Amino acid sequence: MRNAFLILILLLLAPLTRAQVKTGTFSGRYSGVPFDTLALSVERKAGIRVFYNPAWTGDIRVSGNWENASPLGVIDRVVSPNGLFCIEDEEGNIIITRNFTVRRSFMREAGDSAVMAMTDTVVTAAESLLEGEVITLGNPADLRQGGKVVLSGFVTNSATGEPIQGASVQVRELGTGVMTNQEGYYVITLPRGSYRLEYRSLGSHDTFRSVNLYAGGRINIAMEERIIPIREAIVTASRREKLDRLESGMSRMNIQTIRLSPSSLGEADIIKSVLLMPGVKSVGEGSAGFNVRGGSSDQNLILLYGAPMYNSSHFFGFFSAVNSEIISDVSLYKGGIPAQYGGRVSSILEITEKDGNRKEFTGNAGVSMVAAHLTLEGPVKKEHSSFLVAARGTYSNWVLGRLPDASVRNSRAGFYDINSHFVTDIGKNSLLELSAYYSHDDFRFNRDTVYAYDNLIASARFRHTFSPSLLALFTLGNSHYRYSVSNSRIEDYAGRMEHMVNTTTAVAGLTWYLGSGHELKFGGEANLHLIDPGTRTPISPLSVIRPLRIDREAGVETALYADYKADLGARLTARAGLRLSSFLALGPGTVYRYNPLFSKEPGSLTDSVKYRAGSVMKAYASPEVRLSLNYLLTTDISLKLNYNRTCQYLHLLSNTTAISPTDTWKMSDYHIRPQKGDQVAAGLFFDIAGNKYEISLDGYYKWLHNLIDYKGGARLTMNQLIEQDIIPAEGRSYGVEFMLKKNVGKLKSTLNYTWSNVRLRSTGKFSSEIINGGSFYPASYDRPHDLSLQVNWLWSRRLSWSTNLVYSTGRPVTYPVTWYNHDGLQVIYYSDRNQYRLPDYIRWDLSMSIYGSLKASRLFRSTWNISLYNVTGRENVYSVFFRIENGKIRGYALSVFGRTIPTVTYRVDF
Amino acid sequence: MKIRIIISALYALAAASCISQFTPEIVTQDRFLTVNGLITDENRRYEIKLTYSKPLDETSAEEPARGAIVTILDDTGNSWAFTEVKPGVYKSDSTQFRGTPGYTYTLRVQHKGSEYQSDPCLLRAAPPIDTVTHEILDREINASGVKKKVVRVAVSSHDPGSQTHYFRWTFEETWELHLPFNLLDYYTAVCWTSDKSHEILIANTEALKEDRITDFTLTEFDNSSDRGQYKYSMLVHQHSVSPEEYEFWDKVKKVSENTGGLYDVIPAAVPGNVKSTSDPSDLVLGYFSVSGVTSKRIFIRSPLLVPDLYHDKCVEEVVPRNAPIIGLGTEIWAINQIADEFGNLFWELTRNKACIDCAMFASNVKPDYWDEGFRQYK
Repeated sequence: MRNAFLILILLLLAPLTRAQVKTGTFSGRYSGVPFDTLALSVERKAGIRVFYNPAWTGDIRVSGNWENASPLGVIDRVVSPNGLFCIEDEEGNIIITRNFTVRRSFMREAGDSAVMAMTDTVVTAAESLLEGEVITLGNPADLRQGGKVVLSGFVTNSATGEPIQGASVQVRELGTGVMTNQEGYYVITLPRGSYRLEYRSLGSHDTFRSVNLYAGGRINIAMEERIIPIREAIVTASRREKLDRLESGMSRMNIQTIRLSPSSLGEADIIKSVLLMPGVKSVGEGSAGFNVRGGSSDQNLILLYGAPMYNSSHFFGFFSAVNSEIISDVSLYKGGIPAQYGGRVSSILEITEKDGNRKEFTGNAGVSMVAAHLTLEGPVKKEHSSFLVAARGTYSNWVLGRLPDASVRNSRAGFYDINSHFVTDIGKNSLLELSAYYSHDDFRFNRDTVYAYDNLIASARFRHTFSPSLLALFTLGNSHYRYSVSNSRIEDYAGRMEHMVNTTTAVAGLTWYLGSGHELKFGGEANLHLIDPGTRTPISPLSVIRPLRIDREAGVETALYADYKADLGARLTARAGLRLSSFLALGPGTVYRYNPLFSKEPGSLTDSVKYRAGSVMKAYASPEVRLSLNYLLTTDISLKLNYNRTCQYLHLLSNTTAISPTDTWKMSDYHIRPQKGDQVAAGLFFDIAGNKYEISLDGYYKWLHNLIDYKGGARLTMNQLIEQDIIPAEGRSYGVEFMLKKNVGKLKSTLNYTWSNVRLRSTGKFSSEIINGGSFYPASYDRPHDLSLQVNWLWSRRLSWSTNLVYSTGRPVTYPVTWYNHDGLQVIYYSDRNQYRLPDYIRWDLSMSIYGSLKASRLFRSTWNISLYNVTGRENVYSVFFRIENGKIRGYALSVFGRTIPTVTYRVDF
Repeated sequence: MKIRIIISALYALAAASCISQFTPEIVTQDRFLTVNGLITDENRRYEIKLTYSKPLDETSAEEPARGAIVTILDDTGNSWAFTEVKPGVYKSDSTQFRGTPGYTYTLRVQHKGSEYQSDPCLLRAAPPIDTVTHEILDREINASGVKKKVVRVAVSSHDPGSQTHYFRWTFEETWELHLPFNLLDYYTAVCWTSDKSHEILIANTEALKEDRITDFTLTEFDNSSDRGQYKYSMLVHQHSVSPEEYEFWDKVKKVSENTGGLYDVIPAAVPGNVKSTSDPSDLVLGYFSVSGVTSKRIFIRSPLLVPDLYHDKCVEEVVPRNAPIIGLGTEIWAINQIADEFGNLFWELTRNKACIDCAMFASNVKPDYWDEGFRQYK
């Protein structure tokens, strides 16, 4: 596995750049010569071929004077008044057509090459760089046919060639529009006619094109990046996108926003930024995992390179395991989850990676308090393929070695991660992406206990445009997570415990634009999951540790889905989806049966059934319905309604307050049923004063079924009969999320407020399976009030300020009720779970970014970021614990970042 | 869990975590009947203690549960009554009853009209203790490499028959202490003091090829107490406990070791093995333990150099020796005679009687095994 990964990296790094074909220019003076004469001299002087039907050009007489002109421009000037069109192929040859084509008059002068593709019905347009350019698709004569045609295209970043997701394409005359998808692709069905198309995207200059639309065709737009170094304050989506979006609970955040936000240890952190979104909470700072709308931490699917990521944190949760340099943006679906996504109950966090720059080599490097990174990107074959390689590592060992406590000084903590990503066009209509990610953490405590964990994700994605209205994405990926804990203090007991989860995923997703705002997404996926729940091995010849391997689990999770979206009139858009998911727990394995009259305990075991390799031990299937509706109440207010059911077949076993990297994954099996969630959500979105402000108001109610809870003192690792320690539970959560945002001006800000309630309840029948008497109790991440304010102030072009203000209700905790002496031991007795609360959490952060010279001629651009985390130094209580001292119980409160933490980060882009 | 320590290391890295005292507002006034009992295969009077657990804000002594009828039943129909010798303390008659390996015992308590009964508990014979060893470690205590000597006492044992699997240890430590003053001839300056183990000491061999315990740490002490100054002896009891009892101790240990860290197990109620026979909501805390016991005593001679732990605590005043002292010998005692560079003599005085008579806080009776034990030791 690791070798394959190295080979992949080498492949991604291999320089494959090839020289680009250049065509000559054309000069000449003519007066009334036949077209054939001109064509011949263009062919000779420019070194190209001109293809045409002489029957069409027989009447043309050419007069003109050209100096170093582009051949295409010359021919175009001559033939266009005669109702002919011309296009250019990759070698610069010119083809003259009559009935269908694209006019792209000034392309050569703009100094850019053309990207074209021909299909049966339309000619694909070239990249159009010119603001306001008039583009004619098809033959004016077709106008008389009436009816509708399909216009499509890609929107890319002109500087890097990367696709721009969520750009809006508006037809001014009709007041309608569409958004680009993840590949930057848009498609819109319009009546034949002349329109002004307006393209808008955050971080780019608005641009427009005038189009004479006589036939279907493609217009690719390269949008110019706004060079202002000060990024948007908090940006989750563009204006129309939010208004038109069907999901009430979807947020997007781009990397610039994440980078600006003050961070605790100076590293831009996606998960910590996601926590600022409404409806997202965690048990406390410095903890791994997050909770979305009342779901547990394992109910979030994190997709990196199209494959699931099993551990998203370094350093036990202090940092995200994903280097922010490789990210373009992150999208979080917390409600109205489209049918193409599944496998987790509460949310989908999709990381959209950045493609490498297709035009030139660039890179950046940075140093923060704990880590340093280097990113390089550039074309492999200019315009056609690119690579991006990023590496990040910590030098915390150096820091640890200087700490006073000997046990800490003898400890080692390290992490690093490497990302590599390669994208190439294959022909005109296909795109191949090869990506790999590896992260490693290890922690050695006091010379003899070593923790290590690794994530490895590799994927190949193939995007293909069958036709402008049918796009496909095929993904083949593998995600591997393992950890090991080894101890060698006493040679007799020297041993290692390991856990592994591996998923191979194959996904086919198709999008079919049916015209008139109708769209069908369909596809399927198959996942093979393998879990080694626990393996224990002696690591010394003298060790008496008994090797033990808990039976490997294997399972196949499949899903077929279809999602149909339709514009029902000018105001109403609806989407209905169905995802048929199924799970097969496969042998070899043993299923233990229990007497149903008793709790699952060793004493109630009645029988065991052995299954052969490949046989189905248990099968589950579930139809998951996803419904969404968007109704434009006025041009500026939309109402969204969602229902979705989600199913989850993989579970993280964790009975600690925060999830830990040494928690183990478990598949659904004979005893453990799939977790299920049902959510209804409604949202109102207001666009105020031409999108200067926006307000969203979302409400949801969620039912969670077949949740997993644990008997007190449950043993979750190296346990063959884990079902004996697990108890069934259910949950319900509801809440209201409010967001107010100021989008324009030097001062941008976002105010989020969430009011929510999460209650869990054990549903077991036996006394050992009942928590809090079987009644509902608050989950550990239940924080009824949650407020965050983020402000970004552009002071000057070289200086910006950011601040975060966060308030939330303290999380629920369990307090002791009584204590007793037992033979010299003092035993504290805790009662009902989560009946008390920690004090409220309040934090204020401040950060300042100073940008180096803005001159484009500078070879590199540097940025300093100075931030103060927890400015007031408030000792926010993370948790409490109790000790008996002098015959009395004393409570102690622990705070993680109990004082102001200043950090400095330096970054240079080149 | 080590992870907790790792996390504190990371906090230290951020140099920002802190722990502060905190007074929880807890409103409950719950008190529950608590059972503390142990039946073994040793020949002695067994004791069952019945008390009430203490509400959180109460500092008073535990309230005993008086007047209960305490009975032990075995699986062959025998029963033995325990008699209340002190309030809440019920003892067996050693001529009548002794636990026998292989038998199953049940505790029954009748108190204030309610009846409580324990789960039946099998008495499992314990294998002998192989060794109780001690070693002196040099442990770094700070960054400048300052080291401190630490005495670590550990036990090793094995069961050739592979029957035990679940071990629990308790110990009593006894050490000789000397009040370090030179005027105490008339008082008691040498005493023996004892303490019990205060931690849950359990280990299991589930994960091992052999039923063998190697070098399990029982305790560690350094020169902040006078344990290591003169003579030190430890009596180790090895209990062969049932899987259920092991689980009880394991849970109690997990819950009581919570340090507020990120990876602490969410605290939970740890029920014992005694339940009301009539009302399931009538909660009983504590545990009725039944285990085979083997014991071993070790002797350790003066392993550490202990600084004077008493002088600063005791000396309250220094006066010239010839000054009249009111109350000398009744309220004030001279404990040390010292001289300045001119040969003038001074007395160091204390008002604390414990500084002249260690029998105030320890025993002045030398344990009967003491001299013999140390003679054999060296």
